Amino acid sequence: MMRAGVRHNFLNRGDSVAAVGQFVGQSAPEAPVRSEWNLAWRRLRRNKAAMAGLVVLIVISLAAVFADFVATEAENDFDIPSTGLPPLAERLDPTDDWRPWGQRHFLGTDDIGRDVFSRIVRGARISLRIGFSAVTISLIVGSILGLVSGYFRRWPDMVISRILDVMLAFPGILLAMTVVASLGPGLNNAMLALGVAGIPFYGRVVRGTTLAARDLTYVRAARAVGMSDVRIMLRHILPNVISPVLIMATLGLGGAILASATLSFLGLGAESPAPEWGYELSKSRNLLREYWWIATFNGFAIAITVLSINLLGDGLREALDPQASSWSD
Amino acid sequence: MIKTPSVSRRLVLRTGLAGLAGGVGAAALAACGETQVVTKEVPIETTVVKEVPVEKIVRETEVREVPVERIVTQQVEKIVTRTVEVKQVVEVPVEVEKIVEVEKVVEKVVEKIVQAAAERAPGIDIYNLDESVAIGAKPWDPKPGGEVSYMTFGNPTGFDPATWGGRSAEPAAVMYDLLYTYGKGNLIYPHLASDLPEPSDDKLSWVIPLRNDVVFHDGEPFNADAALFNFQRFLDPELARGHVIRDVASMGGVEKVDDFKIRIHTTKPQSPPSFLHSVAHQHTGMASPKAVMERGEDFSRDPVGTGPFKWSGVWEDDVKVVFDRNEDYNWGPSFLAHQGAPYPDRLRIQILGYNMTDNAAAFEAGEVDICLNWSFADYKRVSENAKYHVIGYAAPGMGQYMPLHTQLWPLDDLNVRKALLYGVDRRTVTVRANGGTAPLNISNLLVPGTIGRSAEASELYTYDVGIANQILDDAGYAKGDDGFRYASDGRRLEITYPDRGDPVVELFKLDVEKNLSIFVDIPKMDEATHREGASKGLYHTTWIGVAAPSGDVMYDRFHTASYGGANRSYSFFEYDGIPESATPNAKIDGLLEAARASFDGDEARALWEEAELYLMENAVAIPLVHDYLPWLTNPDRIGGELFLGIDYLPFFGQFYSTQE
Repeated sequence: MMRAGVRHNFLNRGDSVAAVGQFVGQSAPEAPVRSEWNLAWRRLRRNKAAMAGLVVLIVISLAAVFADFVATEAENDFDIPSTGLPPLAERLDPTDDWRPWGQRHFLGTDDIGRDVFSRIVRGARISLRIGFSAVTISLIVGSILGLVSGYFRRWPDMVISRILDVMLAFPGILLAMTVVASLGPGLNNAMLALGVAGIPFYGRVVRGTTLAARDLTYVRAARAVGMSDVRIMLRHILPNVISPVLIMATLGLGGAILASATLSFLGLGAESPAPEWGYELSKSRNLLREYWWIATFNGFAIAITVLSINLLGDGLREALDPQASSWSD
Repeated sequence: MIKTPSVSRRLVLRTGLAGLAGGVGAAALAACGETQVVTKEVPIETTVVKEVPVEKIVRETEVREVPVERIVTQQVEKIVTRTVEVKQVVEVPVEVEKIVEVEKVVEKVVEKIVQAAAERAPGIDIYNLDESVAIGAKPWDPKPGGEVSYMTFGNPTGFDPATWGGRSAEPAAVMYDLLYTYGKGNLIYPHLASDLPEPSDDKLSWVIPLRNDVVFHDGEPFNADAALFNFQRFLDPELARGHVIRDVASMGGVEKVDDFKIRIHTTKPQSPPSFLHSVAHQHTGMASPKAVMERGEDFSRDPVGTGPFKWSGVWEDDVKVVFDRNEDYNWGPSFLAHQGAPYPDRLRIQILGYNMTDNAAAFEAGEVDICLNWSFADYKRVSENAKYHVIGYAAPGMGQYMPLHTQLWPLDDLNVRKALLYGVDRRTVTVRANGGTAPLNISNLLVPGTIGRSAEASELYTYDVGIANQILDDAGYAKGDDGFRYASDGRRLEITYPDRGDPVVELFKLDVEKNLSIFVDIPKMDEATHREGASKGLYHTTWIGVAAPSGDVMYDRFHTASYGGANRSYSFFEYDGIPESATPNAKIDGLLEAARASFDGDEARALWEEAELYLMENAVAIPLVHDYLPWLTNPDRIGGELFLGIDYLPFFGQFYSTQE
């Protein structure tokens, strides 16, 4: 853990930009002064896989945000005559929809004639919202707990660490299932459950980084000049924590989306008729022989989203923490 | 007779087809010049003046192969308009080839329509429950030995007839015989009884003569003492729970007359059919008194009866229960083709869940030889496989319906219930259950073919969303900002229909929210949670199918005597049913009791009709469709006859193995 802390502090404002520049192979004196984030972005941009992930993620996010514009039908606009139309089938009821994809059921229709494409697009909203919310909950609560326990040590550390240990002892999905089982199924509860299940991971990482950072010279100096604990934590320690947590959060986002799909698949997340991907997958697996496209495209949506997030997360790790990736090579 | 929309639609379809074929045929013939219809003005050699949009016609008239009548109707309407266009084209000079082409195209379209219509009811032979059907339509060619398998839903709760609840019916019917049983023609035949019962003059007691050649699987003789012992257990309020209490609800006591005669007392006068129903229903199986006494609590997992198969001791929870052949068996009811001991050495009851796709997969994998499967997509696929034989059974009774909890707001308002009866699109909400193939039941509690079905009741409701909304508007349920209806006190109209994975729940929500603007809550829950909540009366509705020969089925569902007790979880929906009061409803109780007591068939029929009319006027349930259940059978593995009784339980002794 000590190592981890030290490893990250090169990005800190206290370190010399030149040193970073040298590390990535630039000549220090000539290089214009760049922020660490700027450098990280340059490294990220060179990573093709990560950029592809970022682009896909942006596209999915935009589709989710503008779902009402992208989707051709309301999510529950069922139409029994249109039941089970294959992908690219023309609509039975011609519309004057001006969008190029408006005249067809782009990804087919489901067993009660709902447009699969429209439901997947709206499902992106649900999945991304669950993912972001769950990660935000874990990130905020975990970071606060980690900061407090790492900074104050002694009994707060004792108490918080043991709680986190207990939580870590449960497999994440099992913990989430327990939370959902006690709160009852539903999207919001699934969100909360996944958030809670993720807390210990962030807590541990933040605590470790904090432990290392609190002994750095400039932190000691800050303490010596009488800065308040809160101020030190926020201004001098938190910046150390940001990059590992950001990487974790990005990778965790994919995990959370996958886990929410899992919960929904098991009937603990979304409730019908919500177009949540995992839930759709669960329902349409029974129809796989008749209407293969429902389960396939929903599964594909989960896969491509999680993949793009993971690629981006890996890229971010390399960009923000090149040392770590060189070690791992 | 109810005007079923299917008839009129079919008419439309036929008319459409006829019109289409006729129109095009005439057009083509006219153009070909082969009939006298052709006027001389048609110059066949002339070049095309107006291009026939052949390609366009093909595309626009192509029929989606969707098995719903409504769609077919729409398609036909479209095609009819196209035909008119073709005619117009003929009036201008046109090349013969083009016309022939058009004709071919239209022929194809007609073929497709016929195909789509055929797909509505995929190759399934439909039988009434009172007939037996040869499995695989093969002649009777029994082979002794081997194993056959049947299925049940969910792990049995035990095999003690006095205590079983839940789904023990299929495996229990293997083990136990009843005094009487429903058979050919939906009539009641003696089984362990030797003759029909003799009622006393006041119709309050019934002497039942018993067979003297029956022995239990443990070698004990079946006699009056054994029957007495069993009925005393059923009537013991400390002991009896589960389904049997409903069957014996009308009984007051039982006594022995001589060694092979018992007398059963009823608390109220009853007619023979209604008394016999209580002893011919599925739950009053005769167990060996000796084994019950000796085994005590363990009897439930180590039972002894008189049935065609006996306990083998193999019961793997949630997997299977296995039974051995009862070689001494020769007391099967007289109407069965095969008397005497069954042919197979073993009968395996495979325990399946409620996921019909998994069940169909298990069937196709050969895990089970006969399998009830009501998922349209699955039985359609199986029916298309020449290897299998799908037998559809249509049953009289209450069909599939949604009971309404009339005591729970907002369904305590008759207006809301009526709106539901008018406004629920039965075709849509059941499309997942039957692919839109089952005939609709809009306004009757009972389906056609059930004794006591009221013709007057069938005039009460039609499917009309406009009327439904008008009723709600008039009753003061205005739409709020969120698009749902609110009562004047600000409460949102909400109906709770627990989601246990049935095929109706999601469609009901979508349909009712869209058409009636009433919010439908469909919380997901497991069976145990649902049963607990249902027994407390927390939910408004669910989806049920009930088969029965006569209107007496309403007694089980709506008479005060049928509520409460251990089985309340199933009967609360029928609780009272009448809005005036939560106390017993004297009128419906009186009608149903009088019908039970009536010795005059016409009088009973009239009373049931009146009861049904009264219940439907009070909108106690949303009727959906006729009950029509497909059994998948695998003739390569099992042969013989499938003969289902009124409770959809087969006579297991009629099967034999066809495996090499």
